[in-house]
Amino acid sequence: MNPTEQGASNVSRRRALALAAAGLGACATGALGGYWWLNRDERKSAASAGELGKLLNASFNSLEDKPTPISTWRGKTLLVNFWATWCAPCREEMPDFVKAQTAYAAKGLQIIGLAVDRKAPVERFARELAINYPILMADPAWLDELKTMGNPQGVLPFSVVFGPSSEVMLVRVGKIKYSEISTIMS
Amino acid sequence: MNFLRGRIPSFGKFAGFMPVYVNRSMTAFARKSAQREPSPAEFSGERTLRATRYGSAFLASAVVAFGVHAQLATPPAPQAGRPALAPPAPLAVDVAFPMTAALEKNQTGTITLKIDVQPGHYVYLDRFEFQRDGEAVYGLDKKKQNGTKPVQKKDPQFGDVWVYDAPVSIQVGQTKAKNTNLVVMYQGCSELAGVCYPPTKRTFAIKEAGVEVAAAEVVRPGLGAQFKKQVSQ
Repeated sequence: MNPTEQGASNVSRRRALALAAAGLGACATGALGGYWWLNRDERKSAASAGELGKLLNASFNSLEDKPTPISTWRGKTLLVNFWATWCAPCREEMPDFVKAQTAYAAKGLQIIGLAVDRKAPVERFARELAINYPILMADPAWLDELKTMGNPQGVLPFSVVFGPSSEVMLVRVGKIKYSEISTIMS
Repeated sequence: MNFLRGRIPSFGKFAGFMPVYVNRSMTAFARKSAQREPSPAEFSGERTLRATRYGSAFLASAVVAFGVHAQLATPPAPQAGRPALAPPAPLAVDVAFPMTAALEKNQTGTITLKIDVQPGHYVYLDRFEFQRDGEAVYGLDKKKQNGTKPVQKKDPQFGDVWVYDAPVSIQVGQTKAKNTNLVVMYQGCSELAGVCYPPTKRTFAIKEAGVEVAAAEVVRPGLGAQFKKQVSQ
């Protein structure tokens, strides 16, 4: 092989290596792209986890007007549910919450109802349904806060489940099924 | 790469899978290259062409491999709390219920409110409240209503309720004034998304007859002022 040929061979090898590197690069990009795509929902929750932290540090008045910080239940699996008596889907899911609170209290589930409503109808509905978890009153301004917490339209019902270490396990705009709570608690 | 493990459901499989492709392609390339002594002419042209071919084949195999992986990984393992078929995300309230108000040109002074209620959405008739120039007009009465008739909906929570679940044109009083401020308070839900919108207030500044006016402001009213009729209770 003369030096010219060798030089050409080197150039060719370098090209092949460059191509292989490009291939690997494409692979890596594809893999990362795929990872990004497959985890888009988790990322959405993760992005708003900081904002959701506000909930854990907040305090709401009880039906007896007693300021009650959410941190009271630190260490529990917390299902924080924003609801109102004027919201039909909210009312529909609440019997499941009552059932779940009974079934999973021993496993550390604590449901908190945050009512964006007036007190009188809330008290009446809580009595009717024999709600067995704390109902606190949330100022309507919270509906605007929720817009940065994974609920851009500020609609109800809206629930967040925090794990015992305050990690966000679920953010839900709309109803939660009993089976979903069971999955979380099992 | 360990940080990816457990985050992509079948990443372990994927991580083992890719090197096989990489190795095979690279080995094949090396073996073929070593098989024969190329002529000088081949170095500049053909070998580059061959390298390009192998490179393309390699890229294609990578794409196919990733595609296969993506197929295997989709749908991902059921995640706690995620329903199999999630409802669509709720529309913004002004997209779900776009409204315009107009003073009719026919000298009767009638104000007509048009609400383009989107499919899968509804507004409660009994939760409408109107104010004209700061004074309460009246809520909509299904018996006295001249515009589009509401429909009766059997709601498991509220019983029989009257709603508008399609585009409506409703008459909300008469005025002799040319400059009128109309305030509309309403509340609706999205059956599609399984959610309800909070009580919403929109103000329309009407300045001349025959002109449809869009809402001038977006303010959430205090709840205490909202539910005088307390339909839901």
